[in-house]
Amino acid sequence: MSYQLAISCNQRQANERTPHFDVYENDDELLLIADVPGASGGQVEVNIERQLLTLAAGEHKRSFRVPLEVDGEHITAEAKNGVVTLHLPKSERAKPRRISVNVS
Amino acid sequence: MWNNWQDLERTFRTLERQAARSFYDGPAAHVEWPTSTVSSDDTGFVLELEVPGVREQDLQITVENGVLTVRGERSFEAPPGYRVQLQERPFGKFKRAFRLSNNVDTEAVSAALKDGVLTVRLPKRAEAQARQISVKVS
Repeated sequence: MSYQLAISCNQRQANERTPHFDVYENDDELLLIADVPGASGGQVEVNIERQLLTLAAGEHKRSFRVPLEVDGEHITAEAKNGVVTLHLPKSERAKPRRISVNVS
Repeated sequence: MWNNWQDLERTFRTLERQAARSFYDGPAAHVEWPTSTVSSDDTGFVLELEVPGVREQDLQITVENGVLTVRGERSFEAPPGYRVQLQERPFGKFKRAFRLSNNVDTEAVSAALKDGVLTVRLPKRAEAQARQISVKVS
């Protein structure tokens, strides 16, 4: 499966900064890693509306169009050393299905 | 296909950084990563270097011949079993050097790492600090 991730920036406030992202994917989830130097764990906010995810951490803010359906209820985030790691589990519908073929 | 482009872009970025490094291997070049800010007041200077994800043991700070040098490394760790979809965060070895003002007390330099920001405090020598002199008007 190959697709391009659509990443957009909101209209930025004067003192907002757009963090660098890495995005990884496996069958179960998307893993988003963002550099947010100076932001502590308590400052991290994640919002998802439809498929538009917004990460805000201190002065860093960026929106990100998630290319598939994620299970918004089970997103987890951790912040350490100025790096935020987001686990975005795929919804059941977005997971690849294995279809077994019976050979008779 | 996508991954190949990612690889290519990563290689390009690395080359770009190396090129920038060889041209600007000196104090405070703005093309350098990590990003730095320097502020000062009467008591000294504060250098902040953004090094998210860099561990304390991967940083080396030296003051030699009036130059403060910060060396470090951010390793690239693609999580095992995942495909790369996007990769923007810079990685690799870095070195930033800053020529210090003559009035910095190099014995009193201190550094702290918190939330991915390295803060280096460079106090001025006591005799170099601005003193307030009151003027008596008779």
